[in-house]
Amino acid sequence: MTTVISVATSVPVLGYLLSPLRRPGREDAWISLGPLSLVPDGRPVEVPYLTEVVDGWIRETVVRRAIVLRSDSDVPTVFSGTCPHLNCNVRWVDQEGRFVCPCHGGVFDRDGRVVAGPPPRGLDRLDARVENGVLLVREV
Amino acid sequence: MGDRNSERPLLASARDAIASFLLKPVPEGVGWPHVLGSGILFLLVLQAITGVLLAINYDPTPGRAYASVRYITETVAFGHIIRGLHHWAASLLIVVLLLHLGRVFIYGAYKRPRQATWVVGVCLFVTLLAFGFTGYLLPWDQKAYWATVVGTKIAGSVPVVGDALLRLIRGGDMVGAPTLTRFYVLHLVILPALVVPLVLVHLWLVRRHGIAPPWEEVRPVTRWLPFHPFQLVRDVAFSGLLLAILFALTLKVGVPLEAVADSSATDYIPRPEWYFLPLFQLLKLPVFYGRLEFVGGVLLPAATILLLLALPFYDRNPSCLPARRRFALAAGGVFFTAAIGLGVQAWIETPAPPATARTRGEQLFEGLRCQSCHAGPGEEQKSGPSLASGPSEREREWLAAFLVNPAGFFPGSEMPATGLTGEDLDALVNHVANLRADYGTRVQGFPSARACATCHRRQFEEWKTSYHARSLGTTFRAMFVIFNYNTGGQRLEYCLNCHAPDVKVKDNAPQLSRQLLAGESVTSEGIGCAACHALRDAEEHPDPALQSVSFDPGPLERHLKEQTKPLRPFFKEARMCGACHDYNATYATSYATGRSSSAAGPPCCTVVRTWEQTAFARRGVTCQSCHMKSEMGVTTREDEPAYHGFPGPRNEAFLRKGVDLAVTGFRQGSQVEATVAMVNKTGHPIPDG
Repeated sequence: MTTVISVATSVPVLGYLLSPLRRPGREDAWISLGPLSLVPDGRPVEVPYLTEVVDGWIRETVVRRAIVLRSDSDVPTVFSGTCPHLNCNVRWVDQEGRFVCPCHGGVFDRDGRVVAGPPPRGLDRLDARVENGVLLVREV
Repeated sequence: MGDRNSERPLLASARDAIASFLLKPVPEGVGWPHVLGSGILFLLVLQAITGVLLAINYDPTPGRAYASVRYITETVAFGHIIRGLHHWAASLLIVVLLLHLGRVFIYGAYKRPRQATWVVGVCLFVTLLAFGFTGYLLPWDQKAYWATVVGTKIAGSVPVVGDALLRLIRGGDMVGAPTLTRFYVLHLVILPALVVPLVLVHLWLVRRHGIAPPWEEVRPVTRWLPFHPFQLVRDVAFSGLLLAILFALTLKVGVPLEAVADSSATDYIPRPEWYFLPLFQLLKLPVFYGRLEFVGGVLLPAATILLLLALPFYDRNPSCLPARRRFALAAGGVFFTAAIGLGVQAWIETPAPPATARTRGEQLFEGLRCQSCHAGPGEEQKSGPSLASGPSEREREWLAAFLVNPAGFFPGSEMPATGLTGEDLDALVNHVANLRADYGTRVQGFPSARACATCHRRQFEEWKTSYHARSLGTTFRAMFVIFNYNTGGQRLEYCLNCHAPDVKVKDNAPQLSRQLLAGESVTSEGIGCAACHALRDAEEHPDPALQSVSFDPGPLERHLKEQTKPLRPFFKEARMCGACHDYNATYATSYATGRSSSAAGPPCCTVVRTWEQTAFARRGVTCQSCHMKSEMGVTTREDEPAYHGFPGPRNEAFLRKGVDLAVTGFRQGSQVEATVAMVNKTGHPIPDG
């Protein structure tokens, strides 16, 4: 009987506590960043966009930033603006031609590769495609 | 209810227990160094009391946490003192705890028979650090948010289970609503439930083994004194000193609250509270880059705690004397110095925030606190000479020499030497010399809100909280990008006319547009003071197509030169707000689409014309009647000065005054049907702008 009582109480309690481990299904929506022709060549451009996120019991639209870099290929490279080290927002420093993280000094070159500091990898890339001249991205 | 016979022994035993507590003999050598423990107890009790008081008015949801903390700080009677005491006591607690730990370590008081006391004490130390970490998320300001983003992500570096751990701590992928409620429950329920028994056991052990006298080996205890009054007086005096320090910090330094948490901010430099800086800096060491981040972020701190916990068991040296414990003291000293060194290095390496539009002279003027002694135009006289009436341009050389050596000009002057040379000295001289000009003869177009703040500090502080001050914020930027793409980048002035009116005067719309699209710092302050106070009355404007937003800086310039009031009759009328909130819709629509159109403009721009059709308009209740009446829109005294925080629908208390909501619903299988009834008590549709 003791075992039954223990299991009957501990299973729901543990399940309740561990519920954040269950990832919500992703909708994988493509988000428009606008006509590709308006993205300048030569240097990365930070483009804010609106996306819907589920924060626990709150579904809200938030502003995020993508970093768009046009290259020779038809589809530009699109980076996330979040440092892969401890999730601070990186900043593009025009004079130095590189991205800098204000937290632990991570530095990335214009192609998102780690140049210095503790980040374990380069800037994360978003899926990108161009449809009818409009740049679309998808958070990975 | 009890009978008298059973009460007497109960009272007697309580009295005996108190007497035993107060009169417990303590060794003669015990003195001021031993007051630290009781200081910690005092601070813990203070934290419990102030914490409960704060919880009465705190709302642990992201949208409201910040507003409730501001409400506590700015509106609730003594709220800033209660919050200030709680905030500063958290830091002071760590200071006193470290001193206490250091004292016990140096005295060797963790050795037999007091090993258990030490172990419980270290557990308390860790619990109080957890209190600090969970506590400073609660205000939901920038510091809270970013420190938690970084702090929790460190847990994600644990191999194999890191990701699961991170999700469990955050309650999901990101720092958000579930994180806040988790931290709230930890801070208010779980951690207090740990601290209370730990404190009780620690106190019981202290009573059982007695307070350790300093170095008994060389100074044997020959005399015992009762705890009361000999030690109790010192303890009470020390607690009084701590309270005085807390009040001084609260009243002199204030209680910090940064801007509301913004996950998209790129100009914020995240830093944790001072006691976590060594750990923060540790992760900057190249040895902990990449996969070894787990070692610096988790393993090393955990090992340190374990080493501290086990100290009495591996330090078997029976002596407490420093001379016979050189290795232990040296190791402790090295560790302590390294921690302080890391903390100081982190503090030194904190970069300055990204450059603002302020000049170097302005920065120096503020940094040297010149305004503490010198009044600007319109301000009451302060202890030093007013800067409103001088110096003139021809006095620059004199001013430069004076700033270098004030005592050389006026022996005995309280004015300190600035210590500036070269370009910095020139910058400050230029700024001071231009002060009068800035506020008087030289004003052209739009003075910045910061300049107005020299005399109108209250209005400036109110304005800073408003959406006018954030008219170029991240949401606007996102919409601006979309607008740019939809219009092919041809009609950007349409947005900027209202969101950054100074572009019309500065004629720099292309430059500002580029900055906004590239996510860079902008050279506009958004809708500043002059946007309204230099606004031209629509009826005065000769060109109907440009009636909506155009400016006449004349009255403002006269105000700055001659201190005349820049108020004009139409400032109390709705059509003043209509310049933007009823943005000449026909014109605006054609402007946005590039086509001539008679259709109504975008819905955000029609509020005044809809108001005109209501009874509010007929009764003379204007925009200003509600949106410039105190922050919460509750005070309606006629003599109340106009409130420049412009509360709107994002201000919950304000919205509650304007709307009655009733929600009824029922469940049908897996679906819920709800009916929402809204009674709009305002003079315009909601939502509207």
